[in-house]
Amino acid sequence: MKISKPIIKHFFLFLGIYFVLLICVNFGGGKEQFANFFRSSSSVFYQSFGDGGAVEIKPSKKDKLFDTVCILTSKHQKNKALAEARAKGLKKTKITPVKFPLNTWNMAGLSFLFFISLIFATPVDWKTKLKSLLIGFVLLYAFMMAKMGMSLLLKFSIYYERFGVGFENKYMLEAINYLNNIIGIPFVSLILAALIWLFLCFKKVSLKPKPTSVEEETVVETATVS
Amino acid sequence: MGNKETTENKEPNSAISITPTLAERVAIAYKKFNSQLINRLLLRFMGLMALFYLLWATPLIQKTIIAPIAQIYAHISGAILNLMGYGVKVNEDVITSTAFSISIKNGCDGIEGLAIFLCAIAIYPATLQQKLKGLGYGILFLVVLNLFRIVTLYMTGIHLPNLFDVMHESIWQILFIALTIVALFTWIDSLPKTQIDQNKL
Repeated sequence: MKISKPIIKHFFLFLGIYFVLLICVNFGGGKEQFANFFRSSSSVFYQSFGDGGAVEIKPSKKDKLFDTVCILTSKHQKNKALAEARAKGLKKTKITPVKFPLNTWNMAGLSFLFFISLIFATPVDWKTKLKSLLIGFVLLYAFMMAKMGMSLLLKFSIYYERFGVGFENKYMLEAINYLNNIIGIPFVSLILAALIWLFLCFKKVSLKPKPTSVEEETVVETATVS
Repeated sequence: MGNKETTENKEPNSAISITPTLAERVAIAYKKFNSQLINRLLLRFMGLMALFYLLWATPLIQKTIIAPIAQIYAHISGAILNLMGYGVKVNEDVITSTAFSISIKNGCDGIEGLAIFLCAIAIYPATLQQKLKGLGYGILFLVVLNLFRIVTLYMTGIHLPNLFDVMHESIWQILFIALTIVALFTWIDSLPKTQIDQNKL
């Protein structure tokens, strides 16, 4: 199997664009910008979660691998702790939140960069490129938020006794864990980005088979007869 | 007069009833979407990939298929690294030495790349012979690529430890999926022109 020139050309174009963007993101503060965007977006959607759940999404400075930390508490937890404190005659009490770290770049940022590079390396007009970028961003953003929502729902459900938020049912918890294991893989985000690219940029491609040699012969014969 | 008014009121009402309902609009949009072969193929591909992931995530498949594949990759990569003089030991899916250790976990086993290739070949209009040929080349290519990825990641961990995370997350993941797509397009390109209008791809 030989690799055709256009495939090589566009593959190297894609690599060029991707590496330039990667360098810009790594050395131009793009990762931090994306992490800030992720944190603010997630906070808008998930600051209050379900029935009384509260999520604080903050930058993480302790861990090199993770740029963000999510801190989970709930009204139920606070009320329970206050009631216990009052019963003991205390005026103040402490609650133990659940914290979990996130690598926002690996979780979502990479798929955006991959998608942008694919779009710019595709030989389509600028109107299609811009339209595809816009639609793709919306879809990837929705997936990113769904992923975050699923992750939070799983964490709240695991600690249901503490928070009173999420699912108490064992089977529901297993189902959420199962789905979270699938959509949590970074490769799934990349496949999604590739699929969106194919749907948006290859729409005009016709894959209908051309007439085979037998069919062509038949056409010639018919023409001769007529 | 009252009757007349009722009759007049009925006419516009009957005209409104001709406009398609939401369900009909959705059906029309779906028909339009489905009329393009590329959309139908991609939908089938998505269905197969969803099925793959649903099976992949089950503990049974993880234990009986995924874990042994990761171990095979670890052993072959370990053998290559030893041939290169790195002096590593392999324990299950962990390649280790006094200097550096890596574990072949989900995402590093190359199975998802193979699944993309397999699902795409399964849904693409080609003869069985062409599909088998494509699968043979594709699997060989992706297995070699994944071994190369593991070996280079280990070498990066030894010689350029600061670059390991970038290589692992941002470079090899992207390269792997991009090269899988290139392999697919190459197979499509190799199909006879009577079957696929390659100029438009």
